[in-house]
Amino acid sequence: MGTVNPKGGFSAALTGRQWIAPEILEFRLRRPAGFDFIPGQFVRFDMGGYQREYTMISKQGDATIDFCIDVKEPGHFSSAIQAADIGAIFKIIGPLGHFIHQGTTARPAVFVATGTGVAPFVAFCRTGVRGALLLHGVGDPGRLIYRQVLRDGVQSYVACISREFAGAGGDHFPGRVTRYLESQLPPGTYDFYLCGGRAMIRDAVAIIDRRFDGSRLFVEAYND
Amino acid sequence: MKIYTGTGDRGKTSLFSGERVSKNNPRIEAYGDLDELNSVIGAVMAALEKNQQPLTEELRSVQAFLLAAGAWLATTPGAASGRLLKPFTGEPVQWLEAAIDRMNASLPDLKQFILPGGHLSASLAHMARTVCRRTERRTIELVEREDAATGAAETLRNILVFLNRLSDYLFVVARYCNHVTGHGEILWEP
Repeated sequence: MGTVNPKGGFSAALTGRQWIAPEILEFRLRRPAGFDFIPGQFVRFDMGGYQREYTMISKQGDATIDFCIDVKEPGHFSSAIQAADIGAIFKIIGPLGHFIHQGTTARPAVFVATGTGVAPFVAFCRTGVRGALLLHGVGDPGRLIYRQVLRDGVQSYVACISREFAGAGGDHFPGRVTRYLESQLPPGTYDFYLCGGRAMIRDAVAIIDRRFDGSRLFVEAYND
Repeated sequence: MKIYTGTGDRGKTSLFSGERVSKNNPRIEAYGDLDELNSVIGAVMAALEKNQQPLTEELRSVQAFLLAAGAWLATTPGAASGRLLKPFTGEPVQWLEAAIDRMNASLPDLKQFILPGGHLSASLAHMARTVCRRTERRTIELVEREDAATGAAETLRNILVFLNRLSDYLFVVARYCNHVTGHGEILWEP
């Protein structure tokens, strides 16, 4: 039996934070006793009724549980996490969600992320998942977070830069992740894992239904 | 929270175990009926008199069991996603049987067929019973397919027994609701 969602929540202390890209903040909480999760799961932060959900990027069993947050759109939680003192206590509920790796199958795995939607794939890679193709879509190559961890973990890493960007270099795919699925991925049957904004997910699923019949699909949609 | 993704607009949906299937796939039919059953049970609860709190709580537990069963119906045997689900054992059946015996103890013996009706809560319980029977038929179809395909599906068998017992339970709930609200049973006179 895997990790199930315990009733109630946990209290966890902030142990550190750092900027890992423009407007992307990584922060760490001390892992509370009894808290365990399966890579790909998330927790709900509860701040007196205001709730936000974030996926763990750390490995099971680590002393801390780590997250990354895009603070481009200022919000109650992103402000709080930036202003909090080290040692501040956050209430978390979870682990939640069922976006977990299904194990190696006859179908090659394709991980598709936009922005900080790459978080569950970071957790997968840190836990030893190997062999996937990863597409990471961003508008600005400066926001290609966790590149080394991901490159070490997946079989093929493709950065999809969706916007014209001066000096972007030549090692990326010039276009959205959906354009890559449409034009580059050979026909076949895959296990697709999609994590990101709803528009990407809607467009990607339409392509998968049309081009990759018989594939399996696992989705984690972020609120846009 | 947005509740739409637009990923089901072309007649397909995803099982919990990842497969993209038509919305008339037997699994979808089965857990769709289960969802309908859960909704009708919600209507039964809404129609109960205020002094029937214990029965309300009992029905809420039934709803939770049905959600758990639905998650299993949406998962193909052996899928890794199954590790996130609570095992569906024979315990809910025993729980239902105890509830049936408890309510039955307060009811007069049944010597004739009765017609569905009476108090609104009882009428809705009869409706839930018939939806439950349909759900059971759909699930049998699924179990037979799974047996042929995988030779497995112990969990589906437990769910099937649960649904069979649940329709008995809902029949007794209907009688119980008429009894406690002072509605006599409508006997069938052939």
